[in-house]
Amino acid sequence: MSITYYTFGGDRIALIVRGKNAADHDPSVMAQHADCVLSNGAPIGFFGEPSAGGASGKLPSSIGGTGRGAVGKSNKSGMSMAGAVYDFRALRREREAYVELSVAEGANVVSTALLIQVTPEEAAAFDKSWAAMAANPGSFHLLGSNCSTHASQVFRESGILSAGIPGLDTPNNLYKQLCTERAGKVTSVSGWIGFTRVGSAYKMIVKTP
Amino acid sequence: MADTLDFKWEGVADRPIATKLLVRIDSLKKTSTGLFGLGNSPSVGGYQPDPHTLRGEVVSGPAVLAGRKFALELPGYKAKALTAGAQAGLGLVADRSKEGRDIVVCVAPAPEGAAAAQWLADWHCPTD
Repeated sequence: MSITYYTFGGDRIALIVRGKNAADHDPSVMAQHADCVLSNGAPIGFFGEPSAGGASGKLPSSIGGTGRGAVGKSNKSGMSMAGAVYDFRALRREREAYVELSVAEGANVVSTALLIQVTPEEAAAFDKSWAAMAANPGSFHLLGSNCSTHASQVFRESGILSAGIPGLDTPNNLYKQLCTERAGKVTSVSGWIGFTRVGSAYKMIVKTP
Repeated sequence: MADTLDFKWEGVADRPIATKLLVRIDSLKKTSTGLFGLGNSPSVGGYQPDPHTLRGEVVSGPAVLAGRKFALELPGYKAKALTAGAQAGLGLVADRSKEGRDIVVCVAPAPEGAAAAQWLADWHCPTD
């Protein structure tokens, strides 16, 4: 068992593949999700937003003036959904196991982070591109407009990658593309991953079982 | 009969607990995630690791909720200590989801009988 802290000083960023247990692990398509780490260490990712409601049944409604929602049916199909960018604050609520180390360990959510050495210019462009996407996230489709598609777009806009993801748009294919195109400038770490805020920056914490 | 309340599970994210509920668990089952797991993609909002659906009834809490049936999908590791037929405490924050759902951020097994009320009062949610 070991814990390692990673700081981001403006010259490196990262791709995190959720559900990928090791550098050579190929997780099933539905087990994967891609997040990124900005040049200040802040985690960020693109998600599809369910339209409304929860487990099953009727749409939410206010009852008896309480404003409390009843059981609703949501669109969790992954098709034709609104997109959303989750920053650290939103991830703590919506994906606690992606940013809180103790929760990642408790839920056994293992991820692989690919740390990528970049120039300050590439780092700034990467951060700027994510900010633009957060302001106008567009739509989400599991096929062709998913978390890895949008992360890929940011990598290309910032000059870190030269082309789209080879093959199916999956986080793991994006990971492999980065390993090839940025060979010699990447480091892969796997384990339970959390983040802690330090002033205006963040540290990434990786605990290895 | 009033509709079933649809609670949403979220991380606490430093929010204070606004309401604590004592509930009776009617059922606790692993949630079906559909064909190829399409109903629980980690890239889609509402995803829970190893999702479980807890259904039950509010035993005590605010008058508007007491006696109401509810459903809550929560991560599997939070469901481990819970048992159908037993009581539990739920901690809710003041925020609501975009759809107007109440947000639950912590859960823990509760004792039976007269001890339950004192347990709920003393429960230090979310450090469960």
